[in-house]
Amino acid sequence: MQEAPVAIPSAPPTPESDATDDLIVRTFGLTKQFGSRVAVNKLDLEVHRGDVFALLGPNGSGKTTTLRMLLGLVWPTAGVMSMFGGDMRDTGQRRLALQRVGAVVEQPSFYPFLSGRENLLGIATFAGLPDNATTRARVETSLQQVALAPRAKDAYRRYSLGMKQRLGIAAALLTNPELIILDEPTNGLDPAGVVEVRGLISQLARRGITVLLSSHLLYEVQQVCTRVAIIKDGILLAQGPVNQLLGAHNGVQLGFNQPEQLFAAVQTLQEIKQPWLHGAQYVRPEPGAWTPPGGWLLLVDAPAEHAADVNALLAGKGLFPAEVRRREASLEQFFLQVTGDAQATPGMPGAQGTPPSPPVPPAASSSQTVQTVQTAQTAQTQSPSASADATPVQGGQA
Amino acid sequence: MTAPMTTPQAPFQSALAPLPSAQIPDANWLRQTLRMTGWVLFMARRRVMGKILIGLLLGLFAVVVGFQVFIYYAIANARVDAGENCAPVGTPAPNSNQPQQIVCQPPTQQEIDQAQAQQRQTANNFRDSYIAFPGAIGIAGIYTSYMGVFFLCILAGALVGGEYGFSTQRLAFMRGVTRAQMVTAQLAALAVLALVVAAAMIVLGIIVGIGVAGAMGSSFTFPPPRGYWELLVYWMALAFNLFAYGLIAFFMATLGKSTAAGIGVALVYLLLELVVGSILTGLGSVGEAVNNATLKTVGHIPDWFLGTNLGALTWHAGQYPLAITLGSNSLDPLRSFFVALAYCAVFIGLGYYIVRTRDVLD
Repeated sequence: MQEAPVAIPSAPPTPESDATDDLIVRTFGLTKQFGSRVAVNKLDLEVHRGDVFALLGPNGSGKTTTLRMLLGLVWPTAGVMSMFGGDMRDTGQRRLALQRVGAVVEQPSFYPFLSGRENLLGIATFAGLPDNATTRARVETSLQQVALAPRAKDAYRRYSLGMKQRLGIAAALLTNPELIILDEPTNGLDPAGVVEVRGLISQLARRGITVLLSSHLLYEVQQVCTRVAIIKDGILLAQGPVNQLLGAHNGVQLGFNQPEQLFAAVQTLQEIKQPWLHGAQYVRPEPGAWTPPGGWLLLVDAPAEHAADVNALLAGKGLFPAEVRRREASLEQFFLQVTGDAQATPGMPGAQGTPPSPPVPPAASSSQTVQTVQTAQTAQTQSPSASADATPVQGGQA
Repeated sequence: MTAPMTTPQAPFQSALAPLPSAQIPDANWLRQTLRMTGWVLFMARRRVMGKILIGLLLGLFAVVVGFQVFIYYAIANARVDAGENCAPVGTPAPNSNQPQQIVCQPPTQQEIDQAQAQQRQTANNFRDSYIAFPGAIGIAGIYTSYMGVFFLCILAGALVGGEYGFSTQRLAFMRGVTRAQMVTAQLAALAVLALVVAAAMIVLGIIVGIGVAGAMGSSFTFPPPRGYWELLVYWMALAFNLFAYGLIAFFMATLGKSTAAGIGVALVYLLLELVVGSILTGLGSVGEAVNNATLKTVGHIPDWFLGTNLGALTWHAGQYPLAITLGSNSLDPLRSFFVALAYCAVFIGLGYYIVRTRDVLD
């Protein structure tokens, strides 16, 4: 079993340590309390240089508050924050750190009676750029990047919601920042705009710019992010590289026309010693997908590129799956499972309200192959990486 | 036949164009604050409200000057009443019921000329006191200390409160502008606006005093060297007057996080100070008349009002040698300065404390 993805720093950050280990953002025990309500509770985050880091969480989970604290808009009640190695509690260090950051928090706000160009010139002023030809050229380039150059003279109040969002992104890009913080960057954008923002984030990442974003669009996040943190009620539930967090859910999915073959396949896989074969688990088909007799599929915990090897091994034993396909875990499922919202989501296997029953092949009772039948609830409480719709079995070199 | 497919225009460039050569943001606190001040002033210039207020300020001043000119001509051209020379004629008999006979003679030409000359003199005195240089500056100053304050409070409330209304404060904070820089820039911009408005009104007063009064027959003489110093001090005092009241708008807009709070409370304060001050001064006068110590003390409460002290400061600033200001004032100018300064310190200190400690959630 993969270790818990939540990384707990052992000590509060110091500017010196952050400067050496290339940490762009680090929080330790970050807490924000509004009256009696704890919006962010002892949050430990680590954003490394070059990360595309997504902060995920349900509405009201504390994402925006966290970003606001990082940007010096909201004062933490407790905890430590460092950015570019600078202690954010220190006014001077915070000022220098934030000059290297571009950000859009919630809906972008600009002066409604000023044009898009004038607003960007204002941002340049705030960022400490001198009023010269280079700055003005930079403003023009930023406007062109978000396709707002033709409307640069128009007052901001005349912009559509999507145009406002694009101006916000232009403002974030204006100073060539090393870190870009985007709070729900695709809000208000049409589908084409969403795709473009995704492309933009990818381009930023390729340039080596660190991106820290919050989003509800988990599919989009999965496409572009390298690391994620999931918070709920201000508490960090999971943090780590996307591929590691979802790794437990990737694999090769097998479906058999006969339930007996399913169990035989498990036995076969258990006998095989291959370094890339880590185990297997029974899983329910995804909604709308083909459902084999018996209602269960086998998810082999092996890299997807070994799908053909798995098939060949089973064929060698006379087992021919009716379906062999790569199963890519979705961040959406992982998110819902970690935040405990899976059962409330229609179409999710765990939402059926009854724990999955493992198939009972003829030899099941006499074999130790099927070790534990976990319910969705126990899977959640034991590890955030365990699947709610899965029944793990021992196999390979687990 | 199918319609040809069109490619929708992508909102973003497919590839990020390289930005011009990297610039290092200026980390100098003072230079950055000065740039911020420039930005706040730019906002004041770009706001429609600012233009309307300037137009109103100038327009109403023109009305005031026009009214003064009208009064001058009304006095100068009024029908001359030299009066009639009436005297009793003869002596009625004792115990007679006959009334005393009085015979009136029309005024002589000499008497008429004298009356006309006196009337012209009255008109000229009015002109020289209120329209000509330097009296016109005093009128402009009085006008500024009421209407200018009124308009500057509106502008200051709009500038500071607008940052909350538009949620634009965070634009600066997210870029590393500190709370202290933001407050300093707003206050510096307010000070510049106060200086500009005061200077503009003094210049207008000079223009009226030389141009309009000159056209009305008034002669202009250049003030003595000390007079220029007086003009400078008067300008500073008038600007301080505007700035101090503007601080109320700044503080209330910050506290209430809105333009309405800044403008509304500042104007209500202005009005209340005037009304309450008048009432208390009136009670003090009654106390003087009836020799009541309590009422006398009550009558001195307005001496601690912001407006009273600013008025005293401005009055003293315009007294020597030009005698720009009219009337009299018994308050010590140094004491008035420190009382006004204390008000300013309180408004600035509380305003900064609020900005410094408050979370930006808008």
